[in-house]
Amino acid sequence: MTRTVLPFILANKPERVEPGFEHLRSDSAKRAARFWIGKEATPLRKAECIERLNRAWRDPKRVAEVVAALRPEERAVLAVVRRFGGSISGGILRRELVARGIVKDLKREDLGSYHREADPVHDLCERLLLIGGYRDSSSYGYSRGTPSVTLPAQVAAVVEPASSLVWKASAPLEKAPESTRSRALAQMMVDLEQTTRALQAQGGWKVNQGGVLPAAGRNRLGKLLPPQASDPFEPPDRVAFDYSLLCALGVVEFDGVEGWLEPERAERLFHRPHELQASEWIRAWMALRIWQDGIGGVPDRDNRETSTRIDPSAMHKARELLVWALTRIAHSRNDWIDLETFLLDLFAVIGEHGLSLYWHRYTWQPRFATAAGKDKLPGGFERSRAYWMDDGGIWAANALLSTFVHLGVVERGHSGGARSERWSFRLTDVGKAVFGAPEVQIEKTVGSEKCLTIQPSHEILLYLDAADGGAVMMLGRIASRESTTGIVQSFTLTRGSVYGALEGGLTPAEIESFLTARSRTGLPANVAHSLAEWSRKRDALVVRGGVAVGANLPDEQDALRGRAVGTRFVVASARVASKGGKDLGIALESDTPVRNWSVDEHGAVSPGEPMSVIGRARLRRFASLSGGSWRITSESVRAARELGIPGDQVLAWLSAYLSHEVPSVLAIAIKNWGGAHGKAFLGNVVLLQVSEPKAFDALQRSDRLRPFLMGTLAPGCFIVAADMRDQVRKLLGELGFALDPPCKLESGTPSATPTGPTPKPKASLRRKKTARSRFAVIDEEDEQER
Amino acid sequence: MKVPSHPLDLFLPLLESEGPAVLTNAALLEVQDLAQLLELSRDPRIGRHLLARLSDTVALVDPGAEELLVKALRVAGHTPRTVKGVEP
Repeated sequence: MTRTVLPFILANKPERVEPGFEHLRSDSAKRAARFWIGKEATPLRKAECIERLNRAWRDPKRVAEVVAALRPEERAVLAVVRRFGGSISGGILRRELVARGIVKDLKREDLGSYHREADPVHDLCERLLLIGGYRDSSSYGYSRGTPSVTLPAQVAAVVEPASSLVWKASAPLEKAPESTRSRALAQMMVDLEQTTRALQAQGGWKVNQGGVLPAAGRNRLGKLLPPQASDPFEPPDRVAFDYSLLCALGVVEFDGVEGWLEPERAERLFHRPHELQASEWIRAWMALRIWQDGIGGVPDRDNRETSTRIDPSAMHKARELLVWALTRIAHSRNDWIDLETFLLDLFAVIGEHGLSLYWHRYTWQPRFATAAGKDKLPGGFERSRAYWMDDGGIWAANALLSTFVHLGVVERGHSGGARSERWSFRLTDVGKAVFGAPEVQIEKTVGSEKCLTIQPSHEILLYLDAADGGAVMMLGRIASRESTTGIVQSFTLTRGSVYGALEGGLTPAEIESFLTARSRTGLPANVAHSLAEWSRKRDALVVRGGVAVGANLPDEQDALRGRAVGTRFVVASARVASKGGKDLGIALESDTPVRNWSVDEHGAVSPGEPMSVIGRARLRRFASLSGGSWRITSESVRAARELGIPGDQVLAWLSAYLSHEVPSVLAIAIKNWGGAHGKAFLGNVVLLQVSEPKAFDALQRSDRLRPFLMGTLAPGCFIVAADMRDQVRKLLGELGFALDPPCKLESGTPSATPTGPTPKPKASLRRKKTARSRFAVIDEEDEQER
Repeated sequence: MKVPSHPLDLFLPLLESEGPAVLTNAALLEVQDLAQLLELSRDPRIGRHLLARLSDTVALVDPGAEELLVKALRVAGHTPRTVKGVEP
C-alpha cells in the first residue's frame, strides 16, 4: 500500500518577500524598531532605525525570539497564513480568523461604521512579521479591514501551520438519499487525454482573446464528446471545459493568435497519481477564466450591451470560498449534506457580499424553499439571504453538483418527488483526499491494477474504477475510443490506431506487454497475431529521410561507410557522407537547385553543366532526350501526367532550375498538356466595328439593330449574325454611316519574353480620319473583296 | 517502339549520374520486393513523388515531398514506417 501526500488545496506557492524598508515612514520605522530591537531604538534617527531593523529582521535567532514572544492570537494568525503556503487573500483570512475565534465577526450594523477593532493582522503587518497590509480593493462588507498578506520565509521557518477547521452542518440530513450519482475519476482522465490527443493532431490552432477556442475548433473537438442535452447536471459546453482546464493546467499554451500543445507537460500530468491529478484539476478550475460553472464557455472580454460572463475576479473569489468550505467538510464526518442546508450555512459564514455574482441564466436552476417569494419578504437578513440563494447559491449548487461531480470529487444525492425534491452531496474518497490534504490521505495498492478486458473482436473494455493515468494514456495511444459514457468504456484496436502508436515511438513489444499486464482475461491469440501482422506490414514499407546517397562512386566508396543499394549506389548517414565525400574529392549535392538552365518557347531545354543528379532525374520525368537534346513536348508532358505528375508540378520543377521565367506560351502549353485544357475559338465571324463610343452606344441600344446582332466582342465591336450581314449593311447605310473605313486593330499586350518587334499594322488597316461616323463590317468575304 | 529492359523502366527509371556524386539530405522509399515498388510507382498519387529507383526495392523521393508521400501512402491504405537517418 502507498499514500500520496497532497498539498493543501488552497496553499499558494511560497514567495520571497521583504518589507520595503526604504519606503517606511519615520514613525513606522521607529515603531517597528522598538519592537525588534527594544527601547534602545527610541533615540535613533530613521536611517539608523532601518539599518538596525534590517539586521534584526534577517537574524533567524532574533526572529524566533520575536515570534515566541507574540500574543497567542498573533501566533495563531501566523499559523493560519503558514497553512495557506505563506500567502493568503484577505477574504479567506478574515473567515479563517472568525471561524477560529481569533477575531469577531462584523455585524450588519457595524458595516457602515469605522470603529477600530482589535486587529492582530494589522499589528503583525506593522511589526513586519507579515508583509502586505494593503487592503484588497474588492474587500468590503464582511471582509473589510483584512488585507491579503504574505509570510516572510524566515518567519515561516519558526511557525507551525495551523490545524484544519471542521464544518458543522446546522441540520443533519435525516436519511440517506434515495439515489446517488458519482463519476469515476478515470473518466475525466480519459476525456482530457482524448482532447489532448485531438489537439496534438491539429498541431497549432487559431485562438480568440484569452486563448478561447473559436467555433470551428470547438466543433472539431466536439465530435469526440457528443453533447448530452438531456442531463442538466452535465457541465455545459464540455469541450470548452476540457480545453480551458488544459489551458489552466499549462498543457495548452497560447499567444495572441495561436494555441499549441505542450506534450511533455501532458505526459507528466497523466502519469501522476490520480488523486494528485484531481488536486491539480481543482487548482486549475479555481483559475479558469474562459469557462464558468452552470454557464459554459465564455469570452475573455466583456460586452457593454449584454452580460457575457460573471466578472472573473468575482468568480475566482467565489471558487476560492467554495473550496475553503469543502476543505472544512473534508475534515468532518463524511456524511451526506443537504444542499440547501449547506448553502444557508455557507451564507451565514461568508455573508451576502462574500459570493455575489449577478447571473441568472444557469443551466441548472434548483428551486430552494428559502428563495421562494423573495420579492415579498421584508427588507433584512431573510430577504438578502433569499436573493443570495437565487444567485450565488445557484452558482454554488451548479459548481458542487455538476462540475465537481463531473470531476469525480463529489457524489450527488437525490430524494423526493417533483414537489418535494431535495438534493444532497458528499465528498468521494478522492474528494476527501483532495480537499482534506495534507492531513487526509487515501491508501492505494502499489502497482498497476488490471483494468482491461480484451475481446477477440479487438474491442477493449476499460474499467474506469480501476484505471490509472498511465493505463488511460497508453490506451489512448494504441486504440480508438468507441463509447464516451459509463463506468466501462470501450475502445477498439485497429490497424490505424496501432500504426499511430508505433509511429509515435511505441514498440510492438511495449504494446503487447501493456495489454497482457493490464488485461483481466489475457491477450487473445488472434489479437496478438493482428499486432504482429500490423507491425510486420509497417516494417515492409519504409520512408527514410535525412540520408545521403552516393552514386557512381569510385572504388574507394568505402569512405562513405554506407549500405550498398543496387549496383551503383550507397546509402549512408548524412554526417558521415559529408565527410567521406570531401575525402573523395566529390562535390556534395544539396537539395537546393542551381538556377543555370534555360528553355525556349519550343520547349528545348539547355541544362547547365554539370547537370545535378536530382535535376536530371526530374527532367527525365517530363522531357524527352533525343540526339543529345532535351525537349519538353506534348507527349513527354502527357506521359508525366499518366505517372501522376500534373502540369503545375512540371512547371514548379522546371522553374526551380531556370535562370529566367518559363516563356508564357510554353507555360500555358505545359498546363494544357498536363490536363488544364485551355480553350480558344478560331473561326470566321462577321464583325461590325464602330470606333466612336457614342455611336457604338447608340447602336447597342437600338431596337432596329438588335435583331441582327449576336453580341459584343470588345468595346466598339459587335458580332453580327452571318446571315443578316446584308440587312445590317442596308440599315447602317440608312443611318448615314460610311461603309468604307478599314478595321482598326490594336497590338496585343507585350509578353514577358518578347519574340521580336511588334509588327506595324498594314497600311490598308490604318484608320482614316473622316467627318462622318465610321464603321466596318468585316469578314472573310470582305478581305477577299479587298 | 523501344521495349523497356526492366519492368520498372516505364514508371521509375534507374537514377542516372554523369559522374560520382553524393546527394545530401535525400529521402528514400524502401519496399520488400520489385512487385511492390512497381505497384506503388504505378499509382499516380504515389508515383508523382518518386524520381527514380536506386534498386528493385529502393526509390529516390522527390526532395521536399517526403511528407506528401507519407500522406499519399496512408490515404492509399498503406502504413509506412517513417524513420530518419540510417539504422545502425
